[in-house]
Amino acid sequence: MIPSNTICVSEEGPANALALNKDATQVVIAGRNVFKVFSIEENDFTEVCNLRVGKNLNLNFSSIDVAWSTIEENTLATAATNGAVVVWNLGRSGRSKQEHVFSDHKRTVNKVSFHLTEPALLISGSQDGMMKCFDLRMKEVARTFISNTESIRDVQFSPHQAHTFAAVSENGNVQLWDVRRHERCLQQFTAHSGPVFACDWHSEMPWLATASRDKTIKVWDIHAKPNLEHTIYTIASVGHVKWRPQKKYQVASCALVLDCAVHVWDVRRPHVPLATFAEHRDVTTAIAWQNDPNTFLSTSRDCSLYRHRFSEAAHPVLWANPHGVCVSARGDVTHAAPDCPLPALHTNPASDRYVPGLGRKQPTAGSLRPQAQAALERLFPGGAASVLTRYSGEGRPPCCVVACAKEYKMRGLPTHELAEHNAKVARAYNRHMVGHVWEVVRCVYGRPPPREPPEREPPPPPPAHTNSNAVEEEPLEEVEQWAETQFHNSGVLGMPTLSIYIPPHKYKIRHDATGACGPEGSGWVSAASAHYVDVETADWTLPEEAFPLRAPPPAHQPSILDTTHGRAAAGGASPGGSSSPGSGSSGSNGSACTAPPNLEQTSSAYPGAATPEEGESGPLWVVHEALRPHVEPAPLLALALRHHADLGDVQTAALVMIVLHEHRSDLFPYIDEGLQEHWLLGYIEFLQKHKLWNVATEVVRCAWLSSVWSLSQQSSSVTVCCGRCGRRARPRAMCDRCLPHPDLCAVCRQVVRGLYAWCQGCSHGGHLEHMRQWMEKHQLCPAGCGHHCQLG
Amino acid sequence: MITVLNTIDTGHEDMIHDAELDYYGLKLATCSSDNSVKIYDIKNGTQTLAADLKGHFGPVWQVAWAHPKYGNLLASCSYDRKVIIWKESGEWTKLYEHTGHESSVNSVAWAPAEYGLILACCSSDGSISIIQYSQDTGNWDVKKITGAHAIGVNSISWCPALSADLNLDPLTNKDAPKRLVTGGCDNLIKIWREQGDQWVEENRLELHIDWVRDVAWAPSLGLQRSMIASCSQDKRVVIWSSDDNVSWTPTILNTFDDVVWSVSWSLTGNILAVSGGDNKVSLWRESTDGQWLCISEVAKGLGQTPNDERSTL
Repeated sequence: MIPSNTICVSEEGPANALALNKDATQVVIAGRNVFKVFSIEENDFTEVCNLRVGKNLNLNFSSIDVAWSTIEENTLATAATNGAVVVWNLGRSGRSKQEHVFSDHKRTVNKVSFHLTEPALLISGSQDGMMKCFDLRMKEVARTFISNTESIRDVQFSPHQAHTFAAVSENGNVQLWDVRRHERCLQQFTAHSGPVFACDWHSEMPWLATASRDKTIKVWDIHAKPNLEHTIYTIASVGHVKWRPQKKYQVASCALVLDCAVHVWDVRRPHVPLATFAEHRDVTTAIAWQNDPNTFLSTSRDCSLYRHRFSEAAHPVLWANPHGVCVSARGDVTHAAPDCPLPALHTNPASDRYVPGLGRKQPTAGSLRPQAQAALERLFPGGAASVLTRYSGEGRPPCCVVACAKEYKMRGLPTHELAEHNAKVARAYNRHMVGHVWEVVRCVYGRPPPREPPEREPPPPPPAHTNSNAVEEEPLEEVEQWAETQFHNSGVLGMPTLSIYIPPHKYKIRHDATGACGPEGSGWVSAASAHYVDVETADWTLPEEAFPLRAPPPAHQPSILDTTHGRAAAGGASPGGSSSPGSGSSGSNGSACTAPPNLEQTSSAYPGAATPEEGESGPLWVVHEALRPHVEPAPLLALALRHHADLGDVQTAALVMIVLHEHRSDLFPYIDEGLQEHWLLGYIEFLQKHKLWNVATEVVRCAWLSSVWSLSQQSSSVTVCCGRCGRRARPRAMCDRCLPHPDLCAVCRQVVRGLYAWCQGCSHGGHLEHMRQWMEKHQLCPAGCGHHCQLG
Repeated sequence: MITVLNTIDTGHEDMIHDAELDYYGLKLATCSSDNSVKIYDIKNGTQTLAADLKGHFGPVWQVAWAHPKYGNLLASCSYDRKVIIWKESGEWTKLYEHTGHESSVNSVAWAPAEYGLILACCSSDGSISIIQYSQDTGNWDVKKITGAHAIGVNSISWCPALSADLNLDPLTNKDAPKRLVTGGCDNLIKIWREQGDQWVEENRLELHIDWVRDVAWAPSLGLQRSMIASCSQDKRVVIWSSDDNVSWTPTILNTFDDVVWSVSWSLTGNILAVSGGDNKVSLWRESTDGQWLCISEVAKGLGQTPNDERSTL
């Protein structure tokens, strides 16, 4: 659907030019195969006259340009490809309106232009580099102007000085001539680096706009010495340029290639068009304003003639995204925003602005109401500038995550010691919540491998260094008992818990401490409650008390921890005890926000203060699960890790999994392999973003998933250099340059056959035995290069 | 709470349309209506101009950094219908120029590095190009999705290589389908999936009632679901989340006072930065109950905490 006030007519062939009569009521279009006059009605064009008539349709009818006299109602002139300038008189009776043919130019005439006040003066610019001034009354060439350039593309009389005209040429020059003096031009300057295709005088200012193949439109002040006032950057060769009437800073342009649209620019905002009219399907060949800033006509190679109304314009300045925001890997935020924001310009609903059949290629944001358009135009004087601001990161600066990444240990020690170390690291950086997870890990896995049957694998051997207090020597038979473990669904998360056999003498300890009965008769207890609670080993906390994912307030942290640990081990050494309502409620939301509770109040339970750094009540729900009587650590730990990952802390999730070592398989039923891989790769990515290559490599090395572990096989490359010349050699081939010389032993100077040992530092070497002998006595390279060699 | 580190005098002569930090957060690229792209080195909170790239003949709308394993590569797209890939090897030079679009190219995005060196760009001509560098031939192969969005495509973003649906079947990781999300002038968000050597429209997400200005697929470091943030001229920001990349649930993050132009996820995908027409940038975070909270908000150049009403939204 074409909006009603953009009207269009199709022609027999594409028009190269159009011209309006004095009062802009009629338009003439001219091309190779078309030459017609239309009258411009409210809603359509009406053909008034077809000038391409007669028996002899010679090349005089093949027009490059057309001009309509600004004074005489009926006088037209065309520039023909054969070098003829033809004058037409619409007032002639009969079909042929041809008045006179000037055949003075040798080559194509590119432009004809009437004098603005002298009706009899017509000027032409031709490919032969000459301009001719014709006297229509005398029907002769009054003067010939020789430009000394290859070809003239446009000639225009100045509206300010009656006898001055500007001529632009293909060598990039602009010449100003006095029409009365043909000897030489008034002024000449190089305007563009490429051919200049068009020029247009500003109606009020002494400005000349020039359009060039160098994709720019330049505005020259030629009051005195030509001075470049503005440069507009377009995306394609500019074919035509026309100042918008009554708008001091606005100029319309169309391209010769590539861009089919007509753009109206504000010279003060030279990169983005103010308005765009994209109705044409092929390049626009000519534009003319209808003596009014709000309507103009254009012809195109797509054989159409359009009248555009400015109210229908699209505004590319509004499509341009004025804002850019980016959050970096380091948590910094970069924000680019305009100096002064665009006012809220409410567009009309952009419903049916798309004209599929006419191939509208530019999006149109919907036209603006006149007020909005005026507001938009007012924005331009200041130009547009943006402010680019950087902000430091969000709430928790990632620097502490990075610092933790550097200091965390992930192997070389038993799980609980690693966890203890990592907990300290986390707390040192005020990451109490994370620190707490590590505490949990330390507590839960601070013992030899729990006597729980792994799901898939044979039981891992106990770690080499375990706390001697905690070592329980298990009889071999018990291992076999694992086959008989019973699964039954308990209430805890609907997950199967296991019951395992505990020898009576050990069970007794628990029994005495809690006063509670084992669930399944004397030997069988729930795995969760069977964590071999040794009253003697007072340095470890019960799992369930460590489970609340809360951290003590930082100020009181060490003392509370110590106290709690001590008391918890001494007094509350039973799961039953700590599941009492009192301790459970201490983890509620209410207390989470209060001041740090004092030690007396929290002596039997872990202090219930939420981590200030997180400021969320989220983690607390874990508490309730944790305090159920039959607690199994694996699902809860898995939940905690998932929670951390969801909070964006993939570090904790990945690293806890790594540190768990042989306990890791406990979590496998709750965290599938895909997610494990996801965490590991995520953490590796995080480390790489912070250039922590060594840590990342360590993670890859500690990985248990083949897909992650195999990363170490990728993107590692070994290059071989020639030991003689140092040039890189092709694998398994001798150096191209040193080809005839085989590798000699640096010690005995003989050719080495068989094993060749060399120093990777200086690449000198020789027989293994010789090198070994040499290195026993010396430190420097046998080849005498001065390198302190190391041999394997 | 975020604080202003500094304000950068870019020397751009016109409006800046995009500012992107590289993989390490140590290089900053800006692009402007003045046809230029500028690159800054960031060190200790200060930045120095490293390069001023001139090669476009129109406003440069967006820039994107490639993964550093391919070297220092920057892609820029412009109103001049071109996409230029710049490479730093001592100096910044033009590596490749893509000229397959018939209108302004509005957005560029590099694919996750795992897939290879692939660039997606989208244009006002309604089409999407996927340009892949072939290591063997040294050529850039172009695939095109035409008619992706009527009237034009405004923004494009890749699904991370490690994404939600992989959890369903970790064994097929390596053959995981590539996915793209685009936002267009037809008010739609579309998700595209590579199928064989074709790209097919997998999903279209309808909620916005005006042009979608920006879409951003959340990075998935550890997240168990996919999230896409979209912002629109209808002043709304919507978070689309999915457990399987197939069915998507929208949550309206907020309705702002003005057009929202740009959204950006933090590395861990749990904080969203939103930049709106009211010249404010705000940071949003999802709480455990699925509510999005504004954790920080600054007007241009000013640090400021959100007022109570905002934070309880």
